[in-house]
Amino acid sequence: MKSVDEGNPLHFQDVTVELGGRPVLREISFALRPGEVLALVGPNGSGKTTLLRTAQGLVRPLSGEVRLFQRPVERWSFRERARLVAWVPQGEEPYENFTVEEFVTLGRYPTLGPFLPEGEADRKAVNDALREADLESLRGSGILRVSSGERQRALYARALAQGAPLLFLDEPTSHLDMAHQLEVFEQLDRFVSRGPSCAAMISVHDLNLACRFADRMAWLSRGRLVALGSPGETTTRERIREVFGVEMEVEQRGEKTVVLPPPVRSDPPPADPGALRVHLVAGGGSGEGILRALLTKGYQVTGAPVHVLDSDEVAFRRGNVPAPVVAPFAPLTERSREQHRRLLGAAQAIVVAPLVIGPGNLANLADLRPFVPVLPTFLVGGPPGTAGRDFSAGQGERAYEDLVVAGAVQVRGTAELMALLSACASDRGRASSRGTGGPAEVLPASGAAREDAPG
Amino acid sequence: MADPPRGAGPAVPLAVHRSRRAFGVLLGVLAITLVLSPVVGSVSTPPGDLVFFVARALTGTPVGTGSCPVPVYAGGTSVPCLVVEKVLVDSRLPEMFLAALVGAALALAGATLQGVFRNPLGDPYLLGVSSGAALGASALFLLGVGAALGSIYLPALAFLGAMGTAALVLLAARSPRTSTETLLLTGVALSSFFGALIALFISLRPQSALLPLTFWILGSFGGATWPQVELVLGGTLLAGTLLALHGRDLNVLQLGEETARGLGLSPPAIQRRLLLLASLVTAVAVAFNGIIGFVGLISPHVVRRLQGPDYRALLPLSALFGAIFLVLADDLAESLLGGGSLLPVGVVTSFAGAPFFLYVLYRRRGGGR
Repeated sequence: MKSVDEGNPLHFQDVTVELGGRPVLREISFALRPGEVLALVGPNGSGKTTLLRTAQGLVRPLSGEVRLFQRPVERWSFRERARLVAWVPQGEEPYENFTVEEFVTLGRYPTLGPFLPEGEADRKAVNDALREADLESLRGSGILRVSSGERQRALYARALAQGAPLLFLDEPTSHLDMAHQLEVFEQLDRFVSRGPSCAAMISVHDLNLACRFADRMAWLSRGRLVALGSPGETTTRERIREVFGVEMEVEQRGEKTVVLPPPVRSDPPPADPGALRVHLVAGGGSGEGILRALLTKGYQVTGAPVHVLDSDEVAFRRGNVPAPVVAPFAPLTERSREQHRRLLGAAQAIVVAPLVIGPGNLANLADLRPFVPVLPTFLVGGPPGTAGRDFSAGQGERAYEDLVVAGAVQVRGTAELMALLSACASDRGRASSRGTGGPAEVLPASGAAREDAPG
Repeated sequence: MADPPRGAGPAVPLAVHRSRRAFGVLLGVLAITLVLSPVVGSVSTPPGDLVFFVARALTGTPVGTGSCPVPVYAGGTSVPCLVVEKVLVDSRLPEMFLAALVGAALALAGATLQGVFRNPLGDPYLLGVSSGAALGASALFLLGVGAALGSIYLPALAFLGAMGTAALVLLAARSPRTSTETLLLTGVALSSFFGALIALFISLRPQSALLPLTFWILGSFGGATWPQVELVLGGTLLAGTLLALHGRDLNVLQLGEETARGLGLSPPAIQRRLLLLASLVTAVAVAFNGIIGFVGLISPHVVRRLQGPDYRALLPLSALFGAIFLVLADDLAESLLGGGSLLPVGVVTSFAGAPFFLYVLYRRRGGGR
C-alpha cells in the first residue's frame, strides 16, 4: 500500500464503490500530484461524480483505500476534510437568497465552525476570493438573482474562500458559455500555482477543454480507469471510440491535442435535384478557396482522394465533403481509386484545383479522363508544367493536356469558375424541367466560348 | 437598500450593521408596544394611572395596598384605581408578557423549521407538534377533567401531546433513509390524523363542556398567570438561545446537503437537534395558550424580506417580530369586541396576519435583491 510516492495529496488504491448494489467504481488506483489539474473524462454514468465524492469521503468504498494527505480519508473529521478539500458540486441550488458576499463567506465555515465570529483573516479570504472571481461589484446582489455564469463564479469564489489546498469540481462548465468555460480553467491554472500542495480535479464533458488545460486526463469508462496521462498521450481516436462510442478525429496542433467532429463516410451524398453535384480534385491546400466558394453557393461537393493531414483533407473534413483518404505521402491505393471512380460516377461537374502534381496524385488526373467527355470539366489555373506545379517528370503536364483535348475547359480563377458552374446549374435546371435532364446531356459547347464568359 | 461597498472590504460587513440597527429598532418597538398595551384591553388603564402605578411599583409599595392620593378612576368606569392596579398586575401584565414570549417562541420555531426543511411553509403546525398539543388538551376534556380547568392538567397534557408528536417525528428522522421531504409529509399526515381525532372527541361531548376547549384550540391568553410566564420564559430562553447559536449551521444547510457535507457539517445530526429544539419551543408555546396560527409562518418571512436570509440575524429578529405581532394581536383581541367580551387571539392573528402577509409577499415580489 505504501508503494506510491508519499508527496501526493490524494491517492486511490484499488478503490471499488457500489451504490445501491451496483458497482460504480471498479478497482481504481491513481494519485493526484501536487500542482496539477487532473481532468476526469468519460460519458454520463462512467463514475466521474462518484470518484470525486469518494475522494473526499462522501462515499465509502466497498474495498480499497482512499488516502488524503497520506491519511485514510475516513480518519479525517468532516471539518478537517473541508479544510483540505474545497468541493464545488454540480447543480447546487441555494434555498435562501443570500447576497453573493454572504454566500462566499459560508466558505469559511470549515475554519470558523458554528460559533466563532468572522475575523480579519476571514474577511480577507472572502475579499480575495471575490476579487479573483471578479465578483466585487456583485457582492451585494442576491445569489438567486445573478446569472448562471455569475453564480458559477460565486461557487468558485466560495471554494477559494475555503482556503483548502485541493479543489474538486464536478462539471463546472456545463452551464457556461465558451468565454466562461475558458475562464474556469484559467482560474484553475492560477489556483494550482498558489501553493506547493495545491491541485485540482475536475470532471468535464468537453474533451477539447480538457486537452487544452489539463495537465493529465483520467479516462473513465463504466467505472474503470482506462487511461491516465497527458492529453497528448491518452487522447486517441481509438480511446474516444472505446470510451464514448463515437468516431472523432484527433489532431495535434503544436503542443495541443484537438478533437474534431467525425469525418463523413466516402459514399456519395443522397441525390438532391436542386443542387449541382460538383467533384473537386485538390491537394496541398489548392482547393480550399474553391471549396469554400462551392459550399457557400450550396453546391454538393465530393472530393478526389487526398492524403491524411493534407490541408485539403482537413478542409474536406470540415466541410463534410466525402472524399477517399490515403496515408500521408503514400501513392493512391487501388481502393481509393475505386472510391474515386464511384464518386465521379455520381458527379455532375468536375473541378480541378490548381494542384501540385506528383507521383502521389497523378492517378487522380488519369481517373478523370473517361468522365471528361460526359461531364462539364473545369481546370482552374494554367497547365501544371508552365505554372511550375508539375513534379512528375512531365507526366502531369501530359495528363493535363489529355483532359483539355477531351473537352475540359480552362478557367483563370474562382470567380470565373463560379460563373460557369452557375450557368451549368441553370442549364441543367432547364433540362430537367423539360424532363430530359441527366449529367451526360449537359456538355459544354466549346471551350473558347466558355472562356469569354464574364468572370 | 444601501449600495454595496466597493473596493476593499469594509471592516464590518454592511449586513451586520444593518441587522444590528434592525435589532435595535424592533427592540424599541417591542418596548413601546408593551408600555402602551395596558391602555387598551377589557379593563383599560389610562396613561396617567399607568405612570402612577409605575411610580408605586418603583417605591416598592405592594399591589393593592395603601391609597391613591387622588381618587383616580380608570377610564370613567368607576373602578377604583387600586382594583385597576390589581387587574393590571395580576392579569393584564402576565397576559402581555405571555403573548410576547409565545410570539417569540412560535416565530423561532417557524424560522427554524423553514430553514431545516428549506421550505417556505415551515411552521410549528408543519411537524404536527401543535396538533399533538391540541390532541393532548382535548383528551383531557374527553376524560371529563375539564371541570378542573386552570389546573396544571391542561398545559401538562398539551405539553405531553406536543412532545409525544415530536418524538414520533424525530424517531422517523433517525432512519438515514428518511428524507426531509418525508419528514415534512409525516408531520402533515400526523396533523391531519390528530385533527380528525379531536373532531371525534368534540362530537362525543356535550357542547357546554367544550367552551374552554374551543377557546384553547383557537388560542387565548385569558387567565395568564405569572408562574406561567416564568415557565414559558424559561423554556423559550433556553431553546431560543440554543437555536440562535445554530444560525450559521442553518445558513450552511440552505446550500443543500451535499454542499453542507463538503463544508464539514453533517446535516442529519444538526437537523435532528434543530427539530428537537423547535419542538420544545413549540410545546412550551402552545401548552398554556393553545394554538395560535400564522405567527410562526409570517414572522420569518417578513424579517427575511426586510433584512435578508442570514439566520444569525433572522432567528433573533423573527423572535422580536413575533413578540410584537402577538402583543398587538392580543391588544386587538382585548379591545375589538368591547364590553368585556374576549376574542380568541388566534382569530385575530389569522384575520390580521393573512392579509398583511399577502401584502408583504406581493409588495416585494420581483423587487428583491
